[in-house]
Amino acid sequence: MKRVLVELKNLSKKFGKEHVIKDLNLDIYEGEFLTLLGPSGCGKTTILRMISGLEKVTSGKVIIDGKDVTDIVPAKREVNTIFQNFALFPHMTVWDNIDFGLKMHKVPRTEADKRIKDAINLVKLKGFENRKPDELSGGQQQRVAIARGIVLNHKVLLLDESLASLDLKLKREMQIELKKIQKQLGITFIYVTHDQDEALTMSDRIAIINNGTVEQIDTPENIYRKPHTKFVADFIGEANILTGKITKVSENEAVVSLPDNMDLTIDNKNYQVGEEKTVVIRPECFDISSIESLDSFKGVVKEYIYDGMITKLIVQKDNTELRINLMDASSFKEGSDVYLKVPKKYIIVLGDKNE
Amino acid sequence: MEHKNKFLRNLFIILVFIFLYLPIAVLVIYSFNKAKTNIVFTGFTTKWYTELFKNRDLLEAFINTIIIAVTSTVTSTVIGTTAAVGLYKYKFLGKNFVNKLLYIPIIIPEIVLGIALLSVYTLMNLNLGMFTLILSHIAFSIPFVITSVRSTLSDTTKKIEEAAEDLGASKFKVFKEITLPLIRPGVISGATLAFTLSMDDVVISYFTAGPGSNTLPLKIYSMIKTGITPDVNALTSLMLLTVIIILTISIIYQSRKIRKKVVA
Repeated sequence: MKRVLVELKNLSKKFGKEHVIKDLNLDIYEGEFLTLLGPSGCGKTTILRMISGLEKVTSGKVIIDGKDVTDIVPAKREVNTIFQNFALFPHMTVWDNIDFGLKMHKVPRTEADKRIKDAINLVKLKGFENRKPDELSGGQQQRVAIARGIVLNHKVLLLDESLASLDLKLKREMQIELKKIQKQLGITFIYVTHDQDEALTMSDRIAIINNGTVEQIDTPENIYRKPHTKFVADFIGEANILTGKITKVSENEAVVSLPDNMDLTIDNKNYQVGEEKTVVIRPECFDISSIESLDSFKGVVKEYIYDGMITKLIVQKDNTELRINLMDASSFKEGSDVYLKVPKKYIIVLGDKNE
Repeated sequence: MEHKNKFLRNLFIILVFIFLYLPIAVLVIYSFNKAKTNIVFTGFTTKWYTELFKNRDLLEAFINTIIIAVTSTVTSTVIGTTAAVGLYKYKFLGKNFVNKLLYIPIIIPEIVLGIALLSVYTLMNLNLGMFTLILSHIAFSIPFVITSVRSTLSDTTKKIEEAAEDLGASKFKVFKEITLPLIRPGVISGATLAFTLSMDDVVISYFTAGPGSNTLPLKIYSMIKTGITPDVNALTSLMLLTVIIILTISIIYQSRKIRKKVVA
């Protein structure tokens, strides 16, 4: 059993009349990479700022390493933040930027020097010690921010959209590197982002935040494969979300009838006939063929969008549009008839308890 | 066509520069004029510069001006800087109103402020003199310092301060190690502005000065009636020289900084 390092208990935050965080509970384990993912304005940054202490809580508790820090100032909390635009000290050199926290904590000089050197080596900034931030590239500034955040050896590092200002290629590189640094140091990363790719690649667990509450917290794979709510299914990846009724149940299987005569066979999990169910089908989960087969339903290719690695098809089934992604779609054209099937293991039924 | 445009452009620039600098050149030239009036140039001399140091009235006024300028600059810079940081950092009722209110001393006619200050001093039974002069100069400089410092404070400043706090700095350390260095350009330009405003203020000083507290601008102004002597030319030439030296130093310093950046 992993140890809980950061505990948020019934956390609430109001800005004036606006209720930004609503009674939020979250346990963050020691050494894990947890991502708070959500649309902009969902309150994820506010959660992070309440952990660092830069934002006061309206009610509830923040517990770090067993200690209630709710009323403790940021300077005294054993967490550090890497800010969105790095917030480096522009009037200080790289060395002095990294040294700042050590000075404030009155770390003895010889040890401080050693720790700065180690941090500089870790983020590969050797030779840049005497540069000022404006003499560095975006990626290098990012590295300074990381070094400055980890040099105090605190157990938790908070990252607030820390890669958002980098260009795509650099972002990918830094994602991998951040993950490496996190594993190497074994510290807890709490990462805030609205970028789902980033969240899926880097995290041990993802907490989907919506409207100031946690919608779902799970591994990236489960978040994608087994979303609990419509919001999660829609927010992560592409999804066809359809609502229909259970029309047939047998011992092991059930049939859910979706609009426009789409009947799908699913595993029966104590469903009742007549029960309303919402199903989610990821675009890559369809079996598509130009030949009719048992249980398949017919649609027409409405749009054909070539997207490099995959081809996206939009298939019209009466009044419903289905999004389908294929590795090779060369045998289909716009306007051609296609026959679709969905293997039941790929059909996600919302409202099921997670096995 | 192209040539003609170029010619017109250059002519225009030359005319602007003549318009700006001819009066200053005349002033410097006449400070070396043998004649006692600023009308004809009769020959070269440096006697007005030696004469200047014998003119006790003028020197006394100059010293007064420097004392007032230095004291009011230091005081208004400290008050203005803390006010600007406070106004930026803290939320309070009527903050917007206060922010707008700050522009009033900048835009109202100086004569209004002069009369207003005079009435306050009379009401408080303050004897007009150096003290009231300094007080007045502090009063009209503060809004300029605040405006200048405020221009260097931004959301980024707030983020950087938060980063320092996050790394363990106390509020005082944040101000000393982070905020102050960040707003330094604003503080310096605010102080420079306050100093120059104080140095050449006539209108407000005219209302709030008392006997024995003449300032240089007031003295020169009063001399117009009796005729300006060439030693005033000498004095202003010296002041000009000081300004040029300061400017040159700052330009050299800045270009060195830029060069360092290019090399790096």
